[in-house]
Amino acid sequence: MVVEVESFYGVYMLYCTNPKFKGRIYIGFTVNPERRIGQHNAGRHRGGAKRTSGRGPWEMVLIIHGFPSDIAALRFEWAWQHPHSSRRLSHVARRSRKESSLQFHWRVVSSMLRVAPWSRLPLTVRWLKQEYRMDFAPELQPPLHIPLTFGCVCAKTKPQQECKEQDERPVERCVLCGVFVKATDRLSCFHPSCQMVSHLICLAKHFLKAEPSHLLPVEGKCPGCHHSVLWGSLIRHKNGCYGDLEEISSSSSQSHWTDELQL
Amino acid sequence: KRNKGPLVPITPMPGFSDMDTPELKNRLNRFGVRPLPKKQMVLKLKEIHQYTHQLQSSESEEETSGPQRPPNASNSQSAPLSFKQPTAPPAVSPVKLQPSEEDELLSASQNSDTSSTFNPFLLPRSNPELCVSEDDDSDTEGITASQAVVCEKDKLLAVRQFILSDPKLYARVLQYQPLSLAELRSSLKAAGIRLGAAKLLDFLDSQCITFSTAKQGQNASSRRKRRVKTTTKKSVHLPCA
Repeated sequence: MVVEVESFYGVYMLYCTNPKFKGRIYIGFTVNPERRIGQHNAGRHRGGAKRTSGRGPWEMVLIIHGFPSDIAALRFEWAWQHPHSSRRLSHVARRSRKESSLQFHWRVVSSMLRVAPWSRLPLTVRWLKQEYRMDFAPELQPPLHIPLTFGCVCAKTKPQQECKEQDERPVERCVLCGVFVKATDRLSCFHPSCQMVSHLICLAKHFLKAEPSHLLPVEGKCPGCHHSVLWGSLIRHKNGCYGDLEEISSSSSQSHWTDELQL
Repeated sequence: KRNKGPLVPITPMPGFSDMDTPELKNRLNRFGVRPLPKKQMVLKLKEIHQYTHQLQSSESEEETSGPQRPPNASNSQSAPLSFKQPTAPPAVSPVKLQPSEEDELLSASQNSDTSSTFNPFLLPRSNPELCVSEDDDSDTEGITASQAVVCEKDKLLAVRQFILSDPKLYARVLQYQPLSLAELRSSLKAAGIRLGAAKLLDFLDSQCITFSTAKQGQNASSRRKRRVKTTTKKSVHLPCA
């Protein structure tokens, strides 16, 4: 099953399957993973990076997506490429002899997900090729809200927003403070049949009651349907990105993905 | 006349850390010092400024722009020299070289979404996480270490409050939109909150707030548009699986 995601910003890892190049790794940024791997394998004259050109064939094995902006993703890309220069990753040990490049890069990214500023972003870790998949080491588990998932992903262009719908929408009140809500700071729950509408800031403060020292919420219970929702999902919903939300809302009604982990 | 209270400086130290390399070279040249690596030039200029402005003290109790006591204590009794040096223009963007560097990188990486050498900040060789120079947050020798920690905590709280009290700004944070670092710093300064660059970055990091060092008018989306245009001509269109 291919998940389609709008407003896609991802940082990926390529693996070289050519025995001559012994499992080399390349880290890059893309807004369209399927197009990007094609570019890499076609060489630099067709859009691929110089460093990967002619050194293939490459497989895109892992991608971290869900970055809310290109800047956030690019900063992540740089830090993953230069863990020993990044001031946030000074605790990450250099590659040991027995560690393959793939294992090392997996270890680095596992560490990165546990560290600010990435630990509160609504990211998804996705292995695109099952045969390469690795699990998180017990001491390097990611934050609970970051899922580990498998399967292909397709970047989708956002359909032209239903602006008309917004103008015709009846006047709504925030469920938390009672004041009228303007479209620019309107949040609504994406669970089917939930009618909850609130101000951006009201709901953020509600979610942050559990974490008073933070400014950016990670998750909380919807005051309408009481489902646990990720702040990142609410924002994506606000921005018209519905692609991966269906996956999330259908799975959360059954069980939390962590329940299915075998620890 | 020799009270211990903070003296009003006649000529505050220019923002050497925010100057670009040619300007630093030029200033050092006036003192007959050869061009050095940038960091060393900044330090050297600060040192020279202190030697020539000996009774300078900081503008506020906590914040200093360098060690209070000049290295040769014997001269501390002399009257401040009243040089009139032009004060540095307020820092708009951290490094003025940035835009041209980025353009070069962009033209070099036209063939890809982003080459592996692209980084949004500075020269590929240097660490983009040091994109903003450390200016006012150097050692606070005038107060004790524990006092410094307390002052810093207050300032961090002030920054936090500042964000919370500005609904537009807080709305940006909540929607994961990057904050312009230059704008934020100048707003904080206008609000009287003086926090060093490195500490501010650490705070933003700890709160998982993304910041942008882009110069005004040259934002990420305009850069991205340029890149998309060049790649679509060359990209291979694959059907979605």
